[in-house]
Amino acid sequence: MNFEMPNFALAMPEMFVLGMACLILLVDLFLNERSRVVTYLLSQATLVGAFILTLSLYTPVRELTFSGTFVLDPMASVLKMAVYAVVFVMFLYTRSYLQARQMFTGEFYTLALFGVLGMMVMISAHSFLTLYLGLELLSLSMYAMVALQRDNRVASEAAMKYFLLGAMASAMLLYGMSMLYGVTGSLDLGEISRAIDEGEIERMLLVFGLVFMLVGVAFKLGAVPFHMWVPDVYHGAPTAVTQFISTAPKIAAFALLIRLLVDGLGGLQSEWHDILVLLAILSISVGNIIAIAQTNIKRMLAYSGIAHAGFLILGVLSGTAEGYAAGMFYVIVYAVMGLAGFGMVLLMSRAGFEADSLEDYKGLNQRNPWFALMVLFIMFSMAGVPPFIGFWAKLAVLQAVVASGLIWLAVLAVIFSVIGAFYYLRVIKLMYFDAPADEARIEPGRELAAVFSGNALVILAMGLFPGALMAICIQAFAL
Amino acid sequence: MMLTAVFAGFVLAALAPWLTARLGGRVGWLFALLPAAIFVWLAGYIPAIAAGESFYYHYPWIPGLDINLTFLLDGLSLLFGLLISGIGTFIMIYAGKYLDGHQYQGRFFLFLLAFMASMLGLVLSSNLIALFVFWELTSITSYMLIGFNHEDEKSRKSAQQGLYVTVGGGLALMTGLVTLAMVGGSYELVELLGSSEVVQEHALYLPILLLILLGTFTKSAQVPFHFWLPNAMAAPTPVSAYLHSATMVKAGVYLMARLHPTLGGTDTWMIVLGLFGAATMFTGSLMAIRSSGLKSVLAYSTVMALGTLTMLLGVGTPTAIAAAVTFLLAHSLYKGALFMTAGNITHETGHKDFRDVGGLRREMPVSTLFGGLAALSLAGILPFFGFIGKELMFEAVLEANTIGTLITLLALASGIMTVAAAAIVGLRPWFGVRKPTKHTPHDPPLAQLLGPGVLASLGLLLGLLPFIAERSVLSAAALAIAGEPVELKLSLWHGFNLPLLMSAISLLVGLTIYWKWDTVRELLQARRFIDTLGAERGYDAIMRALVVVSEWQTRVLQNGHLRYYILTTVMTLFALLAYTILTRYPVWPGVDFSGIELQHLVIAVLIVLAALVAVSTHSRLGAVATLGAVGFGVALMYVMFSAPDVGITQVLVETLTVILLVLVLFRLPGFLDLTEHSTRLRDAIVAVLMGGVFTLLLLMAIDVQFFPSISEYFIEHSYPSAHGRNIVNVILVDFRTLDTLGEIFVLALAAVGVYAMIKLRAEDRKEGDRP
Amino acid sequence: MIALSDYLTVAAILFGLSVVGMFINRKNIIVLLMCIEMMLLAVNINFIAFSHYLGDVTGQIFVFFILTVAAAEAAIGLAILVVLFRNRGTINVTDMDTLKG
Repeated sequence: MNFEMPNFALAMPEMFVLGMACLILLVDLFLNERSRVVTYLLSQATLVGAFILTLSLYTPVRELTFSGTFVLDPMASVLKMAVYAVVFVMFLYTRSYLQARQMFTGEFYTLALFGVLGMMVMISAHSFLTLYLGLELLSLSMYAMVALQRDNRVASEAAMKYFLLGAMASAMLLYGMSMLYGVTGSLDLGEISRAIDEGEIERMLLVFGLVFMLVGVAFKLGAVPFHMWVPDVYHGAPTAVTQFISTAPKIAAFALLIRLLVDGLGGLQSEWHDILVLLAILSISVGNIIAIAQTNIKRMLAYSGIAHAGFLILGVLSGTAEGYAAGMFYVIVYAVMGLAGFGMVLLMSRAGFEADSLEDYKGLNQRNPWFALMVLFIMFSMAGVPPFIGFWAKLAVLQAVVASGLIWLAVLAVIFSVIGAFYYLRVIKLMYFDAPADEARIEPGRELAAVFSGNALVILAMGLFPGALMAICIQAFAL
Repeated sequence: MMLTAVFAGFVLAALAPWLTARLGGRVGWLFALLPAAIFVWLAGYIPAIAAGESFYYHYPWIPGLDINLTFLLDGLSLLFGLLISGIGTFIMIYAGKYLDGHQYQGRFFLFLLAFMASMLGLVLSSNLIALFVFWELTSITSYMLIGFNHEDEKSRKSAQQGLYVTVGGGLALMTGLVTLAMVGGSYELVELLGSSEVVQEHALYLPILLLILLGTFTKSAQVPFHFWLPNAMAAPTPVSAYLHSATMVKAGVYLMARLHPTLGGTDTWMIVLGLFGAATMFTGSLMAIRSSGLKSVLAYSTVMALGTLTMLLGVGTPTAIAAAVTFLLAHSLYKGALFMTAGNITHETGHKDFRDVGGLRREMPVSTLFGGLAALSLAGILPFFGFIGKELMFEAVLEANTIGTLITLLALASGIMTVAAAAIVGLRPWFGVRKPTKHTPHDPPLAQLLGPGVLASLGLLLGLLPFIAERSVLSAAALAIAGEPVELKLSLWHGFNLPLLMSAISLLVGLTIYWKWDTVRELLQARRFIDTLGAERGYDAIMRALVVVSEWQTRVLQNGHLRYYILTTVMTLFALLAYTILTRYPVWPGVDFSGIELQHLVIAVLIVLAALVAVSTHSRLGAVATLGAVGFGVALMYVMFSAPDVGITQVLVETLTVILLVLVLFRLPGFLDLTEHSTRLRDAIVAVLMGGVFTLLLLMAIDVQFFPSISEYFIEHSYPSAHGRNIVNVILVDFRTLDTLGEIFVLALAAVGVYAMIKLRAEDRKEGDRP
Repeated sequence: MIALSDYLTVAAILFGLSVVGMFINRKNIIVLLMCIEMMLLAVNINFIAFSHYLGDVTGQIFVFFILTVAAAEAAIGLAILVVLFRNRGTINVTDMDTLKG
C-alpha cells in the first residue's frame, strides 16, 4: 500500500492553532493570577498568526489534501478569517467581564481556541469524518464553556440541556452519515457527489440519510423546530460565552451546510430544497414572533438569531452561486451584529449585575447618549433598515430568493421581518423615550467602550460600503 | 457635484452638534446656507430641463450587486429638489430661532440636516436600491425628530407608531422594488422607464404593484395608514412643517409619480390609486374639521392633500397630471407657511388649540397677514395659486371615466370641508373675540416670519403669474410623470364652467360650515364610531394580537422541559422523513402483496387487535393475556411460513413469559392513571409515527443486498457437513455453536439473577413479618 | 449467516429505542446519557455492517473515531452532571425547567 505524503502546508493554520492551544494550556499552568494576561495575549496572538497564515495561503482555486479529507478553497479561507476576526473581537469584549467574575482563566481561552480549531476543521472538511470531528471538537468545547462558571445554577442547567440535545443531534447526523456511507460506499464528499450523480443508487435511501443529517445541521444552526436549546443556552450561559456561541459557530454551521448539501449532496437538491423552505419559514416566523414576548434581552437576541438563521437558510435554498454568496454574506454580517448585540449586554453589565433585562435599557439615551446611538445602529441593522449592513444582507438574500422564482417566499419573509422589526424598535423606544429605571452610571472600561463603539461603527461603515465584502463572497463561490 | 450636493448635508449634520454648541440659535442662518446653495445650483438647471433635457450621473458603489449611486435630474426630481432645498432654507432659519436655547438643539439640527440630505438623495436617485436606502433614512431621521419632545407619553407612542408603519411599508417596498428590477431587468430608473410593456404584461405585475403601493401608501399616509401622520405632530413645529407637510410624506407620491410611466395606466393602477386616494382625501378633510388642535387640523388637511395627489396620479389623464404637479407645488407653499405660523402662535401664546385662541390680529399683525394669505391659497380663493390647483383638480375628476362619479362627489365634499378648514386656520386665531392667553403675544422675530412670508407671498405671486411656474418646472415635471409632453394651460380664469361652479359651491357651503363650526365639530366628535373605524384601532389590535400569539407560542414551544424539546425534535424528524419520502416515492418499496392469503390476514388482524387491547386495557391480567395472544399469533405465523421449529420455540418462550408475568403481576396493585388523556394521545401519535418510519426503513433495508444471502450456503451445507436435516438446528448447534453457548450462558446468568432477586425479596418479607 | 438488513434492523431498533428512552424518561439524567451512548452504538453497528458488506475499511476507521469522541463526550457529560448536581442537589430531568420562555 503506497502512502502519499499529504500537503501539510495547506493545513498550516490548523496546525498552528492546535500547537498554540496546547502551548497556552501548558503555559497557563505556570502563571499566577496577576500574570494571567499572558494567556490572553498569547490567545490573541494565536488568532492573529492564524489570520496571517490563512491569508498567505489564500488561493483562488480548490486544493485537496490528506487523501481528500481536507479542502482549501476561497470559501474556506474567507470563512476561517471571519472566524478569527470574530473570536478576536470576542476576546477583546469579554476580558473585563471575565475578570469581574473570576472567569478570567486559561480554560476559557484554551477551550475557545479548541473551538476555533474545530470550526476550522469543519470549514475545510471534505469528508464525513473530518466534518464530524470538527463539529464535535467545537461542540464539546462549547458544552464545557457554558458550564465554566461552576457555581452558576442556571448555567449548569443550560449546559446540561445543551449537551443532551447537542449530543442527540450529533447522533442523528451520524446516523444519516452512516446511511449515506452505506449506499454510496464512501465518506469522501466528492465521491459521494459523484456516486449520486451517476444515479445508480436507490434515491429513497439517500433521502433517508439526508433527512437525518439535515436535522443535525438544523440543530447546530438553531433553525426551528430544532431551536429549543438556543434561548435556554443563550440565557443561561455567562454573557461572554453566549457571545462566543452565538457568533463564530454560526459561520462554521454555514460551512457545514454548504459542505454537506452543496459539495456532497448537490445531486439531491430537489429533495433538500423543500425541507429547507420549511425550516426557513418556520425559523423566520417563530423566531420573530416569540421574540416579541421576551423581557430578557439575551433571550430576545436568541430568538432574533433563530430568525436570522432562517434568512441564512433562505440564501442557501435558492441553490445558486448567488444564493450561497448571499448566505455567506448574511452569516458574516450576522456574526458581526451578534457580537455587537451581546457586546451591548456586556457593556451594560457590571460586577454582580447582568444587564439582561429589557428594563435595563430604559432611558439609556439620558444616561449615555453615545451608547444609545450605537445601540440604535445595532438594532436598526438587525431589523434590516438601511444604510446599516443588516439591510444589505437581507437584500442579497431576498434577491437570490426572488431570482429563483420564489416570490411568495420572499414576501412571507418580509412580512415576518416587519413583525420582527417590532421588537428591535421597541428597544430603541425604551432607550430614547422612557425614563431610566436605573440611574447607576455606565462605566465600562475604556477598552470595552472602544470595542463596542468600533463594532457599531463598523456596522454603519460596512452598510455604507458593502461592496468589498460582497465581492469577496461572490468570489468565494465563483469556482 | 451631484455627490457633493447630496452628501454635503450628511457632513454638515455630523458637525451640527458641535457648531450649535459654539454658535447657539444663530446657527440656523449658517445651516440655511447649504439648502440655499443647493437651491441656487438646482435652479441653474431650470432652463435646460424646461427645454426637455435630463441629466444622468453615475458613481460606482456596489458593483457586485449591480447597485450604483446614480442620479437622474429631470423635471420631476428638479421640482422636488427645489421644494426640499427651498423650504429647507427657511426651515433652518426658523428652527434656529424656534428652538433657541433648547437642550438638544444640536442633535435636532443633526437629524434635520441628515433628513434633508436623505430626502434630496431620495428624489434624485436613479437606482432603485439607492432610492430605497434614502427612503429608509428619511424614516429613521423623521423618527428621531418626532421623538424629539419625548417627555409626554403620546409623543413616544406616536414616534413608535410612525416608524413602525413606515418601516413595515418600507420592507414591502423593498420586495416590490427587487421584484420589479428582476422583471424589468435593471435597477436603473432610466432603463425601467422604457420597459413599461414588459413589466405590465408580466405575471408578477400585480404583486409588484401592490407591494410598491404598500410602501408608498404607508409613507404618504394613505387610508388605512393615515393615522400615523396626525400622531406624528408631536414633533417640534419645524419638523411638522418640513417633514410632515412639504417633503417626507410626499416621498410616496413622488415614487408613484416616478414609476407612473412604468407601472401606471393600467386599470388596476387607476382603480387602486383612484379609490384609495379619494378615500384618503375625504377622510382627511372630514377629520380636519372634526379636530380642533392647531396642528391636527393642518395635519389632517395634509392627509387630504396627499389623498388628492394619489387620486390624481391614479386618474392619470394629462389634465390630472397637470393638476397633480400644480396642486403639489401649491400645497407645499401654503402648508409650510401655515405650519410655521401655527408654530408661531403656540410659541407666542402657549396654546395648542384653535378653541383657545382668537383675536390676535392686533398683537400679531404680520403673522395675521401671512397666515391669512396662506389660508386663502388653501381655500382656493381666486387670485391664489391654490385656486388654479383646485380648478384643475375638479376638471380632472370630471374627466375621469372609470370611477368618475364617485370620486367627483368625494372631491366636492372634500373641497367644501377644505374651505371650512382653511377658514378655521385663516380666521379663527386672528379675528373675533380676543381670548386670554398664557403669554402676552407679539409678532415673532424675523427668523420666524421669513419662511411664512416668502412661501405665502409666492402662493399669491404664482397665482397671478402662473406661467412662471409652468415654464420653469411644472411642465417638465408633468412630462416626466406622463412620459410624454403635457400641455398645462395654467391660467387663473377659464371662464364660467363646471369646475368654477364646484369651487363656488364649496366656498359657500364651506363658509357655512365654518360659521357653525363649533356645532359641527361637536356633532362629529359625538360620533364615536368614527374613532372605532379608524385604522389606529386596527394597528393597536394587531399589536396586541401579536403579543398574545407570541406569548402563547412561547408557552407551547419553550416550556423549559427537556422532554418536550426532544419530543419536538423527534416528531419533526419523522414528519420530515415521511413527508419527503411519501411525496416523492408514493409506492411502497419492494413489497409484493400478491402472496398474501386469507389466513395470514386473519392472524395479522388478530395480532394487531390483541396489541391494541394490550396497550389500552386497565386490567393487568387482560394485558398479559392479550400480550400472550400476540406472541401466539406470531408463533402461528412462523408455522405458516414453514418454520415449525421456530414456531415451537416461540410458543414455549411465550408461555413461559406469560406465566412469569402473571406470577409477578398478581402481587402488584392495580393500574394507576399516571398520564393524562392528551399526553397519551400524543405519545400514541409519536409511537405510530416512529413505528411507521422504522417499518419503512426496514422495508427499504431489505432491498439493500450487496452480497448473495448466506442462507443458500446453509441450505447447501447443512446435510453434507453437519448431517442434520433441520437447518435451524444445524445452525444453532453446528455452525454457530459458540454463539449458542454464549446465549445459554447469558440466559443462565439472567436466571441466577432473577432467582437471587426473588430470594432477596422473600427474605425481606420474612424479616418484615417477624415483629 | 446474517444479512446486512438484519444489522440495519438491529441498529434502527436500537436507535429508535434510545430516542424513545430520551423523551419517555423523566427521572434520571444518567439514563439520558446512556441513551445517547446507545444511539452512537447504533450508528457504529451501521458503519461496521456497511463497511463489512462493502469491503471498505473506512467505515471501521470512522467507528474508531466515533468511539473516541463518544468517550470524550461522556466525560464532558458526566462533568456537567457533577456540576449540575452540586448546584442543585438533584439530577432529576423534570427539575431542569428553570430556563424557559
